[in-house]
Amino acid sequence: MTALTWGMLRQLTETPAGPGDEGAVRDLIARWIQPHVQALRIDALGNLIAEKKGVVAAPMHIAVAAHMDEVALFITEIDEEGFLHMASSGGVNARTLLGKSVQVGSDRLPGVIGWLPPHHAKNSDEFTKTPDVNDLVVDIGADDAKAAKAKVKPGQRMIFDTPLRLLGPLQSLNDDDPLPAQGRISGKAFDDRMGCATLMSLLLDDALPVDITAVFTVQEEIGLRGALAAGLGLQPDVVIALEGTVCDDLPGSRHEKRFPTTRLGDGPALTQRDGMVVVHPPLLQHFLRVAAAYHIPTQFKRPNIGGTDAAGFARWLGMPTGIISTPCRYIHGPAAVAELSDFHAGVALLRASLPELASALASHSHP
Amino acid sequence: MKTLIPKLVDAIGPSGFEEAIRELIRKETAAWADETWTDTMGNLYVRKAGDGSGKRVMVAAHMDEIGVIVAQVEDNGFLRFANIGTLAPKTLLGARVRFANGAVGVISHDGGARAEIIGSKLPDLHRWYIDVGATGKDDLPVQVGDVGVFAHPFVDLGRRVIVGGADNRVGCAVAIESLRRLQNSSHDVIMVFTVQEEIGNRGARVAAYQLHPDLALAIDITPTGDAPKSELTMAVDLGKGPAIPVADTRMISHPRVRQALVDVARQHDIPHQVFVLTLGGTDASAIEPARSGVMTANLMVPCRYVHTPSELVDWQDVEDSVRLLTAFLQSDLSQVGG
Repeated sequence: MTALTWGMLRQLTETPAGPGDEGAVRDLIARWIQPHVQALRIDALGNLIAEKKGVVAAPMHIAVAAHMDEVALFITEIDEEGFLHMASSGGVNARTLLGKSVQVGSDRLPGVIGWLPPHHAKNSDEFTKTPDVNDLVVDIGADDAKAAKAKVKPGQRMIFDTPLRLLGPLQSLNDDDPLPAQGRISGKAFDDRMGCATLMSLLLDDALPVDITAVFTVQEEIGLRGALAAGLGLQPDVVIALEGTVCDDLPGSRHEKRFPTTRLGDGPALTQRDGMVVVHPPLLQHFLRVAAAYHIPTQFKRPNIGGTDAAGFARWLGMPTGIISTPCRYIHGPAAVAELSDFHAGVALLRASLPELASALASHSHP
Repeated sequence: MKTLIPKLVDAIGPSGFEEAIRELIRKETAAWADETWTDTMGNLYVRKAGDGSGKRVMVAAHMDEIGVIVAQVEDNGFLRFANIGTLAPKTLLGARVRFANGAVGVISHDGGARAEIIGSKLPDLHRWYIDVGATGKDDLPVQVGDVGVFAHPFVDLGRRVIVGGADNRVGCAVAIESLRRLQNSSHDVIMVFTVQEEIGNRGARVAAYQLHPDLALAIDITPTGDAPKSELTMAVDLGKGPAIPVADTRMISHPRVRQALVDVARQHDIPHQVFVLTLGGTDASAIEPARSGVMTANLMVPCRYVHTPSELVDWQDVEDSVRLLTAFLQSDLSQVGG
C-alpha cells in the first residue's frame, strides 16, 4: 500500500506544470521525497533526480522515470479588449477547450476559454465547426489591454483548472486520508502525475528492496526533451518509464471489434512496443512472471501507439527499457478518469519486480 | 554592419554547401579570435578565451541558407530541381537563382504563360524548373547536383533594409560584430557558425555535443506578428528591439538564461520583446538536449517576409541585438547556473 495520501495526490494533480515550467510540481515532489532519499539534485534542464538507497545495493544502475509536465497553452498576445490569445504547448485538441476554466501563470489567475453561446449561433459555422486553437481566447475578466497586461504577459502558461475528485458513491475525503484501495477518480494532468505518484510511492517506502535513481523529467509533452538529456547524463543500465496512458474503452468498444488501447480496471498496462521503442523482451517477461507470482492483474497496451520517456532515455545509448502505465481516460483534456486499483497494482508490480530485475536481465545477455 | 551584411549575403551557402560563407566568416573574425577551428560537418568555431573564472558559453548562428539543388536536366536545357530547406512555393515564380560558379537562372513552372499568369493553383515542386538561358544540354553552365540560392540584391532603405538571406546572415553579422566589440569578458565564448540548420539543425547538434557548454544562445531571425491583418498571433513587431522567445515550436527557452537576457537588456536600456514564437524553431532545440542538457535560449532579430527572396529587417533592431549580445557576454552569469 502506498504511503501517498489523498491530499498529496490532490496537490500533485491540481498544481500547474506546463512543459518547461515545471517548478511548482518539482518543488512539491522535492519537499515530499527529501526525507526519504539520500541525494537530490536538479540538472541543467530542470529534471529532478533522486538517489534512493534500498535494503540491498542493486547490482546494476536502475533508473525509474516519470514526467512532471502536462499539456498547456501559451499566451501569445493580449488584444485591445483584454482577451488573451493562445498557442498550444503539447498535444491539445481544440474540441476540448471551449468554455473550460483555466489557471493563468504562476499566480494561477482564474480564466475562462471564451466561446459563442448556442442561443444565436446555432446555425452558423462557429457553432458546428471545431475552431483552431490559435483562434480561441481566454477571458480573465480584464476590460482592456491595459488591465490585462497589468496581470499577465506573453509566454505565460494557461493550464486546465480541475479539482481532483472521487467518483461514485458520495464520500468525502480529507487530505490526510490514505488513498482508497479502489474507486474511480477524475482530475487533470493524470498524464503523467499518475506516473509521478507511482514513482513517489517507491521513494516514500523506506523498505525499498534495491537502490534506484528516480528521475522526474521535464518537457516530455514537447518531445521527451528532459529524458534525452537525463539518459546521457545518468547512463543507467536499465530505465523503466511510468506513464498515465491512453484509455479509450468507450461505449461500444467492447462490442464493435474496436480494440481499445487499454481498459480501465484491468490493471496496469505493459507496453510491448509503442511508436518509438520495443520494450526489452527479457524485462517484459520478468514483469509478467512477477505479476503471475504475486497475482497482480496486468494488461497489454495496444502496440505502436504513442511514445514515452523510455525512448528519450534510450535515444543515445540504447539501454534496455520497460514501460508500466496507469490507464487514464480522456488524457490531454480538462478532466481524466482513472481507477485507483490500477494505480495500486502498478506500484505493487514495480516494487515486486525490483529484487530480481538485475538477474533477469543478466541471464538474458547477448552471447 | 552596413558593409559586413552585404558581404555576408553575397557569399552563397545552401545547407551542406557552406564553404564559401565559412571562409568569409573565418576571414572576418580572424583578427578578433584566440582560436578558430572547424569540424567534420563544416561548423566553424571561433573562440575568444575568458580569464578562467566565467562560464563556457556557446553562441550559435547558422550560416547556411535555403536554396535549390539541380535534380535533372531536360533535353531543351530546363533544369528540374529539389528544395534545400523549406521553400515557399508562392515565392518561386519569377525568382532568380544564383549558382556557385556565377550562373544565374529564373524559376517557372509547367503550363507556359497562361498557367504562369492567370493560373490559380500552384503546382507541386517537381513541376517547377529553372531556366539558365541554355538552348539545350550542350551549353548548360550547371549540372545535376549543383546548388543555388536565391539571388538577393541588398537594398538599404534608410532605417530598414531589404536583405534576401537575412535568415541567417543577419544573425551571423550580430555574432561577428559582437565578437569584435567584446572586451574584458570573464567567459570562454565560442561563436559557432553552424551548418545545415535549414534541414534540421544538424550542425548545431554536433557542435553542442563537442563543446558541452555551460549555457548557449542561438542567434537567428524571427517572423513578426505586425503584418497587416496578420494571422500570426505573436507579440513581436519590427523595430521594437531584439526578440526573446519564451518558447518556439520545438523547445522552451531555459527560464534563467532568458531572464538573464531580459535583465541585461533592462540594465543597459536596450529595447526588447518577450514573446512566443508560434512558427518555426532554431538551432537552440538541437543544442538544449546535448549530453546531459545545456541551458539554452534564443536571441532573435525581427524580420518580415522570412524565407522569401526579399527579407526585411530594421537596422536599429540589428544594432540593439549586437548591444544585447555583447552586454550579455560581458555580464556576470554566475546566477544563471549551468
